[in-house]
Amino acid sequence: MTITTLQQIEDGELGYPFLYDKSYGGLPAPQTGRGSSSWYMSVGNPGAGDVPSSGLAGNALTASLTGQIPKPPVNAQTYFHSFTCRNYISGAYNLTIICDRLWHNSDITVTSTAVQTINSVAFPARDKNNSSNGNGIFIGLEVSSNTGSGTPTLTLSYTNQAGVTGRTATGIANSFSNSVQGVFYFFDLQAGDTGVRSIQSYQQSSSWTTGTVHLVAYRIIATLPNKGVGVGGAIHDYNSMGLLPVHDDAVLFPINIAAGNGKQLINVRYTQG
Amino acid sequence: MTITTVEQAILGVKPVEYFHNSQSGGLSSGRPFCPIFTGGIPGPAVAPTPGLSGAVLTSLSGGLPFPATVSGETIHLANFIGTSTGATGTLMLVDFLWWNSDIDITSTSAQTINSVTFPPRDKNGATDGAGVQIGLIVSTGTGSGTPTITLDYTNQSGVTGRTATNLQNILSFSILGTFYQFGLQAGDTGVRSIQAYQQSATCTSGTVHLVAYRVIATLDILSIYQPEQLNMLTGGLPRLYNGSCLTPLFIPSSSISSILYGSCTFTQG
Repeated sequence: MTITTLQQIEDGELGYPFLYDKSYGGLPAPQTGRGSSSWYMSVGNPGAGDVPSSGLAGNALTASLTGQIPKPPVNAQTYFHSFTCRNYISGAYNLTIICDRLWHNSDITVTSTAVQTINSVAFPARDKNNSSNGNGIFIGLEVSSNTGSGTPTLTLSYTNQAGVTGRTATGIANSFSNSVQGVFYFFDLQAGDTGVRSIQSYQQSSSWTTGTVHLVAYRIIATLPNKGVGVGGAIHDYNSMGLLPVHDDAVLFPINIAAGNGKQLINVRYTQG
Repeated sequence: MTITTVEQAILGVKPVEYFHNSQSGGLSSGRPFCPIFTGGIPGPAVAPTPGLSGAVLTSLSGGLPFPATVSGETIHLANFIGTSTGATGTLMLVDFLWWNSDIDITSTSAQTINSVTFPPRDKNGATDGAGVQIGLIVSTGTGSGTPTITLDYTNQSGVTGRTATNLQNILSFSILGTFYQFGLQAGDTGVRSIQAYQQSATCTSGTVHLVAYRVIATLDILSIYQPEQLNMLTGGLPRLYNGSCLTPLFIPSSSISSILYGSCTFTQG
């Protein structure tokens, strides 16, 4: 049921938090403008997410998936009630982006400078209009195994949210050598575009020597500014964020943009109508 | 219905709209920078070509996606979150109402603008111009010239023959996205229309555009990477009029390349 009153938000609050605790391992130290993903971090709760193995065309993702931020069973429309979000490193304030992971792939050859055909399978119907058009869907490149030397420029050929083919995206920030597990590179969009419907190909300008990387299609569901110093935290609830719905099939995961290393503890509370 | 209660605002929020631009290039301390022509998320805008009298903006490729108009409903800013990777400073969210093209940046003559009527998005939702300001944005880096720039405008009360000059000194080789604000004549609080534009000297090369804009929200970025936030409780839910064309505008405190990132959330009902 759709929630239509504040009282229903409180009545539907599940009464217990869902824990995403990566406070014992360290997220990689991000570089300017890059993100870091804890998807592959084995230390913490939940354990590491599965490393994709679906090939270049990838696979569409549906909850529940190993490694995702936990969610309640689906028996009603689900919303975020609140987050508490902490970063245990003094001064390591950050922006935590809560995303829905729609698709990821594998088998990218990190030593190749040739065009690598992707031809992604259809993304699930979870764009910002709950369709598969791609509105609000962005692409990132996620490192699951440390790369070697090399600083390639990353380029995608994609189809935009309006179905226009032959669009080109590049990494918003340059890649860097020896990118460690969890580094997450954001791709930009071509002029006028607001999202990605599908990916046709991927290309590097030079070799990354070694390592394993994956393309990820994601949609941003919530952004959590954390100004914590030391054990300081931040609370974000529906009063400040508004009542944000969570799709039944959403595969939630965080991306962190910070000044330094991070150790993340996120408690999520949900409410259901 | 229109949003008249906090409950309606909470229940009416739309999906988060994220922005994340590429490296700006070397900013200049105290000179605003707008990432509208810079790559990133969303994709950049294409420089406008409507001529000197300009074009009204009711949608803006490269701006933040904005909710579609629904008859009888109002739209408000629910959240504005952002920060910078390079320079601290002031991060604004602005509504672009109008912009133009075809300014001859080598000319020192008065160039007739006679702007088309701005859309009814001044701070009262009218075309009077209350709170509407003017800027000059660079879409192709300029050359070595450092002119003083002057506007002849009509103020928010309809008084003609007013004069505005640039708030920040023009720098040679201003980069893509550099945004010079105009100061208003004594007693004025906004601009209804622009009659003419003039430079004291040539800019040598490059492409610039006049922009009419209104400031919606501001964040003080005190430390790089430290996100600041206005939310429904602290931001006051400012009204956004139908067809708003929103983009960040950043006044850096130091001269360093920066990536701006953050998000907006709107509520509608």
